Amino acid sequence: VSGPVAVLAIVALLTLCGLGALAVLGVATSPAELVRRAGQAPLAGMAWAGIVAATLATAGSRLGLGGLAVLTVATCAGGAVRLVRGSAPAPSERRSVGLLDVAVSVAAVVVLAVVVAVAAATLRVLPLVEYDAWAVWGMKARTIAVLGAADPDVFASDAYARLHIEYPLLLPSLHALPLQAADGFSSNTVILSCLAVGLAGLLGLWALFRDRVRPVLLLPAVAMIAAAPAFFGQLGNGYADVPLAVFVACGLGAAGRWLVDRDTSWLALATLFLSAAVLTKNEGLLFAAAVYVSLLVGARGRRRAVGVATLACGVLFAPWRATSLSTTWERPTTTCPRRSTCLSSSAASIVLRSPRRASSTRRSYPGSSGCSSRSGSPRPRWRSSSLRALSPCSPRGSGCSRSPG
Amino acid sequence: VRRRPPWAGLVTVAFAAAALVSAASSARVVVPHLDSLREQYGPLEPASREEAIVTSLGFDAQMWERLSRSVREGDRYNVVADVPYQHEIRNYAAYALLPAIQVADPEDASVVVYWQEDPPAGADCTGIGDGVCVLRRQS
Repeated sequence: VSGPVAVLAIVALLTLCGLGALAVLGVATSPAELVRRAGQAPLAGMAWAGIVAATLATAGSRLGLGGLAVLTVATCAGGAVRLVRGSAPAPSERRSVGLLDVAVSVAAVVVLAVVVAVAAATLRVLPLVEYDAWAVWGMKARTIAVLGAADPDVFASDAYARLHIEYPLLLPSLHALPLQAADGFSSNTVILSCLAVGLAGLLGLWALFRDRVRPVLLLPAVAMIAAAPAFFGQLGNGYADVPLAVFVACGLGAAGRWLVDRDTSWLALATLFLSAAVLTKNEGLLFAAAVYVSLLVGARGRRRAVGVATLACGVLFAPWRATSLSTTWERPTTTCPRRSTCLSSSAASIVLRSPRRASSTRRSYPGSSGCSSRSGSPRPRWRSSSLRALSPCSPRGSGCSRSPG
Repeated sequence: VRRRPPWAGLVTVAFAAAALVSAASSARVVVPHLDSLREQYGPLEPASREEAIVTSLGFDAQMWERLSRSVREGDRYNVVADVPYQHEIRNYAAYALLPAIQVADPEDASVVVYWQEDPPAGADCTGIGDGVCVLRRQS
């Protein structure tokens, strides 16, 4: 199948898995409530399957398509059992809808629809180009897809240490699912997989608050997030920042609902999303810690539940943490090779270089330039940071540590 | 039932208006940017799109095509290079030459790529591009 079809099929499976997860966690206690909360299912499924896939990849195995099907069936079976045993939910509150609500909601949905449609049409044809996107996230996803796991030959090898191997595996494991299903490798599949996570995040945010927040507030807020230049821009780059952001946002939202509604299932859902966040990027740990510390401070009388949730998040993070702590990489520490005019890292970050026009320093090979500035080089209109990456002295090129996108 | 304060309606309208204006003005920036990206990549064939990385790095796409055919699944390769952009070569190789595995030490490699470096004297290094050759070692 093609990349887009593979992504759609995987998202459908993940949504099913997420429906089961919502029922298992008790977020929905009846079929009607499950339908009402179904908007959270795609992101919940990505979080749940992503955690399992990342843990399996860390352990030397992979979820795979068959494994995802089994996980979905098992989760849905567990959810069905809970739905059967569950109590009838409280009837949802019906609000009166005024003219203002309708007008603002329609305007917000129009903006949202236009931006999402244009983004989907564009991301459908984008390849991975940004340096971190292919060197870090694309490489890991492809490795898991073709080698079957986080192979130590790659993930514990000095040869790959420049490529931020220390970053966790949830997102590459999710990307690897459609890559396995698709015929041949296309880097666009990674971008479409990123797009799916971003859209699931928007839908999840709306579904999380739709019964607590008036549409006149909620829909413009969601439209504002979707239209922010960084949102689809980062998703189109294939970076992990937006996936991390949506996991954190939904985790934070669910934690807020737990504080207000006092229903433990929201805390369980928050823990699912925050656990996914810590396994998406190392920075997720900071966000998750901030949320749990805030909950400990704010939830008087319910701190034991927060402690259990924190422990659960820690247990889910532990396999990756143990693996990364037990692995030591010898990072290249040189900032510039010999025979080149070295610049400091900060200066190097603004160096522009056009490899096709660069002159040779040793032989007549294209791209063999020193580190000197070529500010007159033509600059592609669609990339700026890629040019920084091309600097021979750039932090990424030299293997210096920095946070990947 | 807790009654809303009298200013709640005003705050709601103000937030909704601000959010809508923000979303609409952001969309005016985002949509043309996305359109320009689509115009750039849309007309290309899928295979040409995949060459975007090679092009952005300034490498020869055909040379990398030959290199990817020379390094096969199960190979462990090492890139011997001492050029200013040596890390770009190794990083792109790590991504593009999968499922072959890159190794840090040439001694551990079944395939060694010499990039603007001379192979050992007498070695049967197959040229695949200008100054780049691939030496397959006997196991």
